[in-house]
Amino acid sequence: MQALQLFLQQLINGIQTGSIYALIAVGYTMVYGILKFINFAHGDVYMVGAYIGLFTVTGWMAQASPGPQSAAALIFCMVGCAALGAFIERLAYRPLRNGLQITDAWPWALFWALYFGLFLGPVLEQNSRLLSSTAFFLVTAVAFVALLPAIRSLFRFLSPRLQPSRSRLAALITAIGISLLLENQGQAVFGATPQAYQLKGIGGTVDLHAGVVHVNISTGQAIVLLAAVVLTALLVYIVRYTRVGRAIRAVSFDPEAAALMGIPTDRMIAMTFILGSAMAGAAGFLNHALTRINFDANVGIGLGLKAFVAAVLGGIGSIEGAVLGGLLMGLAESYTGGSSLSSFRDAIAFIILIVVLLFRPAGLLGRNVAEKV
Amino acid sequence: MERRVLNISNLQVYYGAIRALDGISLEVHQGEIVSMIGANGAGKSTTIRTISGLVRPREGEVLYEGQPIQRLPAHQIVERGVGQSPEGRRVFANMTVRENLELGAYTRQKHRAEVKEDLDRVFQLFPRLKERLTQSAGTLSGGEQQMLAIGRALMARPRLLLLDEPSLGLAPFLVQSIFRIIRDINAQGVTILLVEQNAHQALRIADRGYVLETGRVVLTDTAANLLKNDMVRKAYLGEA
Amino acid sequence: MSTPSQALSSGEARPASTAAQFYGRRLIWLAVGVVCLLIGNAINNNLIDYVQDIIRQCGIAIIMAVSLNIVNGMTGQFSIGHAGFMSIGAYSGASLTYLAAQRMGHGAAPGFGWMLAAMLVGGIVAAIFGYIVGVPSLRLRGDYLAIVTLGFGEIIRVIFENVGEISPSFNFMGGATGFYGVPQLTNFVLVFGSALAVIVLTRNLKFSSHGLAFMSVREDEIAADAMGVNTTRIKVVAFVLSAFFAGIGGVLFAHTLFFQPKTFNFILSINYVVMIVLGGTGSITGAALAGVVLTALPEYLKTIQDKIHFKDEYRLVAYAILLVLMMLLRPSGIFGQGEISLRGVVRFFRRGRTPVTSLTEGLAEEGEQAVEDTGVEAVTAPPIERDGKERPVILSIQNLTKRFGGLTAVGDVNIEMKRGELVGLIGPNGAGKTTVFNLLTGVYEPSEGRLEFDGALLAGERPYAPLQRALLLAMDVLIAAIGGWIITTIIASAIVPYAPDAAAQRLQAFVRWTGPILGVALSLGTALRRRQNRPGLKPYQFAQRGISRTFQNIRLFGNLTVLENVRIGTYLRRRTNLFDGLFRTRRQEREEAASIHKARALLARFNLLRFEHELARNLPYGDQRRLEIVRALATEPKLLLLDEPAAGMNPQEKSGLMRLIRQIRAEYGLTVLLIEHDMKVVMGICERIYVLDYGRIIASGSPEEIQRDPKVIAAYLGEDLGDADGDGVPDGEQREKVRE
Repeated sequence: MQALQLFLQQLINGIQTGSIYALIAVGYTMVYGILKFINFAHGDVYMVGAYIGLFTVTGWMAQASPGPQSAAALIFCMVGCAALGAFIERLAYRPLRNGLQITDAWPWALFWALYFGLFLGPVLEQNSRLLSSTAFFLVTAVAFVALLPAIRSLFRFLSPRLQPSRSRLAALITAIGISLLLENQGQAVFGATPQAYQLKGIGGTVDLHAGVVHVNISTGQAIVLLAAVVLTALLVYIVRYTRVGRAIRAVSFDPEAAALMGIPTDRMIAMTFILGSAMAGAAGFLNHALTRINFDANVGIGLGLKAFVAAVLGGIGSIEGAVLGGLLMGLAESYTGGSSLSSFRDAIAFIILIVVLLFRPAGLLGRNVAEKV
Repeated sequence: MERRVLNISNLQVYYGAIRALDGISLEVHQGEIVSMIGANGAGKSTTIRTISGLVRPREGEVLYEGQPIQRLPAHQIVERGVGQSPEGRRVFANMTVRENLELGAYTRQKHRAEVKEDLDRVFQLFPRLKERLTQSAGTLSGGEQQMLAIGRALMARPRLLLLDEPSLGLAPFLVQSIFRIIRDINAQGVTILLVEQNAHQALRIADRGYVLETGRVVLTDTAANLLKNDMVRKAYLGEA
Repeated sequence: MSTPSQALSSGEARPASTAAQFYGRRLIWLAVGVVCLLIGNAINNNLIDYVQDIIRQCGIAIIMAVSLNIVNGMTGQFSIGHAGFMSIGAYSGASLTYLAAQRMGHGAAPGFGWMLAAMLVGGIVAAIFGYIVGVPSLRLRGDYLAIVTLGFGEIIRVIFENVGEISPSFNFMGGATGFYGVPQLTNFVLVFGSALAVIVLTRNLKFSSHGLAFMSVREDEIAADAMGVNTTRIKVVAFVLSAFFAGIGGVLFAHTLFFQPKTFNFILSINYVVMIVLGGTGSITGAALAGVVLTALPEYLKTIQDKIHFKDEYRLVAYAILLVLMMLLRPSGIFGQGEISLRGVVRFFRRGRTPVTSLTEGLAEEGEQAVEDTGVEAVTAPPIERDGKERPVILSIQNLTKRFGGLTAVGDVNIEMKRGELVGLIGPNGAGKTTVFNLLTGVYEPSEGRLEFDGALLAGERPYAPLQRALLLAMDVLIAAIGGWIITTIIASAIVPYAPDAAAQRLQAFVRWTGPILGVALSLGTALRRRQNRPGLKPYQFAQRGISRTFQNIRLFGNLTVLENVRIGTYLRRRTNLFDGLFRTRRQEREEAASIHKARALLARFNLLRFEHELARNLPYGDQRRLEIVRALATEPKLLLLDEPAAGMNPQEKSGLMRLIRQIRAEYGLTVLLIEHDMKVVMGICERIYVLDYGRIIASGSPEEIQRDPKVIAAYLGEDLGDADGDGVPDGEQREKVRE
């Protein structure tokens, strides 16, 4: 009965990994649905989520009891990543889409001001008695105020000379640029050493018996699953049944027609980034806080790639498809990993994807739209 | 004197290097139906799209109820009371008829009771839509989709309604009823700016008309006079 | 009766260069190339090793970027797995030289010949994989294809990492740790000789008629297909060619630097995509320059960084920010689609123009015999003469039916057209007119019925010969058996940990056999039915057989010039092949001169020659419609299908169009089938008219008969308006009420 036991154990592991893939994949699928490009930076938003979780659990709230600690960490991760996702959209994707405008000055001023804070903050800290965070914010704020007018006038000069780009390739390269930026800046700030952490008091496992078969589920795994289910259900509810969700779907279907309904399309696109990034942030926290997996600033590349493949597998643009694709991939990897082909674990996702696409070119739940002649 | 709802002066629009509008000026008064006619590429749709904020003019001014709106984003122009039924209908095919209509009322979320009224008003105009309320908009026929597109625009309670080719691709008998409904909507107090290929129909229901050619207004008069005008008869009404 | 080419042969073709000129020019260029290489080599050899390394890296980057540009830039497909082909080239080429070195024993290194052989082998193996990856591209579009190429790259990497598990005899490749002991056989001349060759071949291709066909696929696949371009073949060829060059790049890389499977990861593929986007998608010059800059710049930054003691990450942070800014400020890349050419540079200095040439630059300014303006004049042409003699039937469709799911779009349509006839097809919107056109051009395959054109059966049941069928069946079964065996063997070996030992062996044996058996059963089941009839002809085959069309919503190749659009129309009558294009043979030059001449003559005939170097999308609407007709005529059709040619034209333009259609029919001996809403046009020029309603022909006959037919009046002309809006008042009366 050991074989059955192994089979069930891999099932549980697979669903757990799969639910993490699913949480990341919904972000890819939503952004793709609305802007039709692969947001490569999404995996790196996940990475930032993992780090926010780390700092909350081992730093700011190290003394708190497990309950409030994990709740706070989850909220910090989601809010932090949502803000990051929205900022990325405001900084790069929107100016690319609409053409650079004077109103795009503040994100760029903030962007450069943050670098002033990063580099000059420590200098100020050394020469005064300020706390490092206070010094950082002070320098950033001063730099922001100083930079804003300069960047505004620069953009005023540039704006009429630039055309908005409808090229999806340009959007893709921009996304790659942002992704590289986050990875390397992340490594510069967080260091290159892999990190790991775990929430207090979740080391235990639950032993499930059924006759001679018994399977272990760690408390961590159970929480991951539960949280993933709740979060995806919440997301589906928002997109399906709320006013904002309806507006997002309308923009995704036809941005111009949506604008003619009085829907602020840019705000809805930002909303999409906020929702997707919050999910990725949650995934970053859940995956690492509960299972003690190592991570560094490059963790988003591989995981993001697989999550994106999951989104394509399920049919890109469809949230349900992303969840299905994520689970399928988690299961496939888990079973291959446990088999004698374990060294090909990293390839199995892509093999399945290619086979599925050959038979269903739009993914499992995607609708194939034939071009009208 | 009638109040000017819309006053456009010297509108210039470029698509890349191509000039689409070359100094269009026109005005629409309260309660009117104004038709814009002209060949494809004359700039009718571009004018409409510039008014509704989808296209930015390089020069010129669009005054709506006395306020310049040419720099506002499209959604704010809708909020101010300019509705549009776009060319090619553009209904949200993946959503139900009800969802489409509710999206039309997106800007009026604070006035729930009024939205309900508006819905009834739309059903009065288009009884067919009520029957199809839970059906996906993509499964509607062309005529029904056009009704939905107009109904959807009405849900925002526009004071000015822009209609871009409402007869496009409809069977002749449907064209008749669409034009009748446009007249009814106007009778309810909505000012209408109409763009049409079907010059005959468009002029017959309009109060005044503008004739566009290669991005310019070449002729403007009352609709009745335009119908009698030799040049118009020859060029747009297909009479020798 | 004359074909368009005959009709046009009156003009003089531009004299092609003589053999001496042709080969002389080649030799001079070759000599220039060799001299440049030698000078470069001399300079290179005086540099320090580190710099020499970087220079060779730049050369390899040029090969990779330019070759990726064939797929992504020219053909408009989207590959982000280019490093996968590179690794295949690297591993196969390196294996060859490595094994050769082993055999030779210590001390001896394989010579130059081995290196050339390795490059050839690496290129060919990569090309084979290019074919395998290219085939899915027949089904997948855009980003889905991108993901497949990405997946391919990743699979290849994982396979090379675990290559020892497939067979211990591959252990020499080193698996994940890397391939040690590959002889360092590259040098400056080899790398830059290859890079030059790749650039020259790609450039030849881009500027040839074959290159235009590649670009037509990028611009509009459906229109390209309709113009007789075999789009599926072009896409596969693009992949194969690009993979071949990438394989060579891989071999060069393998003999320059140490490598491991991770070297050729996703990041490297993305790097190459970045190069071509920065350089300008489609521009060879841009790709090559970006390849050099993006390879050399990071190394240069490294030296600065060492001086100012900055964290290493900030080098890449700066690169990332530059990338984002670049996309914001110049999203089309540095060069856009343009190229730098000698001629362009000369002109730049002479006239102060930008050194970016258009594709057709340098054409002799031929006499522009402006033919009378056909655009805006009233119809004065005499009515069609109807000669008494019976003309032969050219098109006959019988019981043609097309169903989409349960919906019958076109049912049981019978149409017969005689050679030289001008026939109209009318009907309300949604009646199925365009569907009939799509059936007539092979865009759709009919669900039932036959389509005969010019004596050949183009659609309908076209059974195989018995022997052919047997062979195909045998092939199907064999492939299914082998495929099934491979799949179940893999599953069988994966299954072990999940079953207890004794059962596992039985299960494995069982599973291993199910594959081939199931495969054979399934393939026989489907193939017996599938292999009964030949597959339907593709649109490009319809075009080759002489059916050409225009589209209801104009489908020109918008980013190509007017002349290029028409030249793509002439492409299907070519006699040259891809190699002529790549090596720009004399045959190619001659054919192209002729094709350009023919295209210009046609443009002149339609008064469009003044726009010849204008991009098609910049043309006024009416001219775009006429250009579509010119493009269709360039394919030398026997039957021309016009889908609403008068849509969006004003009355004068319509009159001009009517006269034009009459003229071209008479001049080129065309048969014309016309879909049109404008009754004036239809009744004015058509000899016969078919009326379609709800997918069925409800009437046919002369314009007079049609106008009198009560069924037609009811369905279409709409005199009897009925009560459509259900308010109890007939619409006809409402119209009157509205007037009051």
